[in-house]
Amino acid sequence: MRTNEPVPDDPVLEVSDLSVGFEGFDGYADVVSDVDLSVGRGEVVTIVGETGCGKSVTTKAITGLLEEPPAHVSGTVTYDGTDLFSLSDEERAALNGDGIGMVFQDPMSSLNPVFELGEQLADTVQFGGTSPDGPLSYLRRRYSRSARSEARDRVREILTQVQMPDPDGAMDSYPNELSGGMCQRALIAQALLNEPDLLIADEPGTALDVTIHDKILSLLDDLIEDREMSILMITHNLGVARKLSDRIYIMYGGRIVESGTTAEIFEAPKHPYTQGLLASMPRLSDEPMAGGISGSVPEYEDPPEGCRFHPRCPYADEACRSEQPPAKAFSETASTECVRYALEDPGPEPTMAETRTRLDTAARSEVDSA
Amino acid sequence: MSPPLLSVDDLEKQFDTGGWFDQTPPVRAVDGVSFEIPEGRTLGLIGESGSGKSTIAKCIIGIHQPTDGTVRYRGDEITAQTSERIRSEMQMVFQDPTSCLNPRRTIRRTLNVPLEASGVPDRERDRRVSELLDRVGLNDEYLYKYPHELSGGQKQRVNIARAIAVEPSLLLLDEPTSALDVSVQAKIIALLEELQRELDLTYLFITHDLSLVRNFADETAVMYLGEIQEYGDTDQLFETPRHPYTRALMSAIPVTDESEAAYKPDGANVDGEIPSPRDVPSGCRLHPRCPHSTEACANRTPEPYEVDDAEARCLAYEDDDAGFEELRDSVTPMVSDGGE
Repeated sequence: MRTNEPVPDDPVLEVSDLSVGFEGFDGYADVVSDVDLSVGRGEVVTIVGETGCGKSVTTKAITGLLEEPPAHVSGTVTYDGTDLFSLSDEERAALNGDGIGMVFQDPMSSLNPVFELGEQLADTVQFGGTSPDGPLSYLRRRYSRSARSEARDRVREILTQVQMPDPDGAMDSYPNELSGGMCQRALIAQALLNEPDLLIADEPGTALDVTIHDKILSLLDDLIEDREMSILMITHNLGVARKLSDRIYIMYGGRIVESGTTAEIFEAPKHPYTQGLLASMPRLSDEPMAGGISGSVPEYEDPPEGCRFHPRCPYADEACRSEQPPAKAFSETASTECVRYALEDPGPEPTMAETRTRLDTAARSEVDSA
Repeated sequence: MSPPLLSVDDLEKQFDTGGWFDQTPPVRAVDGVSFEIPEGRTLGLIGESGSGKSTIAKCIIGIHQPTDGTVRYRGDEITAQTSERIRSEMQMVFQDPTSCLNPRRTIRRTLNVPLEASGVPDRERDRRVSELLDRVGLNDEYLYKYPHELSGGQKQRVNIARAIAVEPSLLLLDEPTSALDVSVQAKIIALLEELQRELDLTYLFITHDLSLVRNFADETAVMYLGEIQEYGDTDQLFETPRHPYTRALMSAIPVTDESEAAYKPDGANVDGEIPSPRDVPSGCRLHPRCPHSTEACANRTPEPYEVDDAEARCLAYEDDDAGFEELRDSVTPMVSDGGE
């Protein structure tokens, strides 16, 4: 994927050759391999994939939240010209929160239950994104009345911006007194407090009801417009990706199997996995959904030889089993890792309609044979 | 005409939390819900969390005793006396496939339990277990596996196998796919459709995802705060959603192509969040969040009004000159030529 990787003119985040593995009881698990991605300034980039495809691990490796060992991280991550892996822990801590903000997946469990929301967020304003400089300085700043009330004003301002109902009341509440939607807003507010240039959002709002989820996404959409912030978002829902993103990476089995602009991915998906995912989405129109993709994501201790998708792929043949398919570029932005596009005599080209038919046939024969 | 397989009439369930001197009002989880499912059909029950949809299923199967109202199975009222006999006719599949399986039992042992309970003789059980596994698209390799060795989709298949082991006619499916990935979800839905055809099952399918029932359920009921707000034929409900809440739910679904976006009503968002079922709003329960609400909505409680074979609990449909021009004008078939 890397040779033809579309690099935006002015990338704020560039990841190349990122691999992450874990030492485990059952041997070495090669969870993320050779991931290349970039996020341009003011761009919204989404990583889409099923559970267990390595999406969250990728972002955790980028933000340096993985414990090493057991994790083994290799490759380079460049943020704004700085190589993140060469930084010391202090420099790294200073960057997280200030330069890179993160919104975590589960809103209810990502806030500290024993502090009021206002206190937690004011702490972020005062101490987030700064390297620790000793307990005395901490106490001086923490208990300086003017500094504290300034911080609380900032928190009130940001809570208003994320449209928290009754910001003052929310600041005096403990997280268990807030609803899921309010917690999610608080988490987004927390990530935005120090005005990061890059926001990493891991499944924002997925745990919430549809109407609330939709609100959170619209909120993110507005914030993107206002701030020229860059966003790296993770989701398993293609509909969400379509709504917000400029570019999309499709991840399967720890590899990026397809990338492209939102239009390219949705109008002309190339990889059978992307096509299968799209066909499996439940529809609002009266067109029925496809029979789904058989099997499940690979075991990382002993991943399938060759293309990692081949045990589930409706097009799989000998060529898929023998070697890792090379990436093929279709445009400056679109590229796919699939043998069907790389061989001289590739056989039938995967199209959306063909994939649907094959998945349906496979689903039917499975039930019939049973 | 024979009675419908399941009919629920004016079902009510309240949860009292207070003690003797506690004045906390009870939680009105389900408040006057009526519906029918004819044999071999599927009813989709939609709602956000806290709308009371799971409570309905639990009242039907007897996990909760309803506060008021009746549940009839083939015309017989389900009471404490009859529930024993009727219970084997209905089974439930729950949301979280993992926590429903005993981690210390092999799949064979898990599937043996309902067979034992329904009196299948010992020597036939192994054959029946293999048959069940076949039915749900698994095979004998899984007999001696433990739940932790299976993926989420496989676990849900085992749960479905267990539910159909006693040969029920009615399955209550409580969000059976919401913990699964889309590719697996599609497979489970395909399996459920197949089983319905082969075993002539009747389904009550509970979900929060409207788009899932589109091509699965024959009829759909949309719930909000313990009440059914709109109820009717699924195709009709999707082509001309009438109730503001149904419209809001539909407009909130992230879609994957333009042809689907045509099914999303414009300007139908609801504000704020679902209120507590302890303290339901006066009048129409949606009025504090509804973009079309008027003064009348806060004061008068709407009944389910009939509009073209469907029912909508919204004052706009009380009679032709009830006002609400804006809403009524926007209710037109979403895609005029049948969705092409």
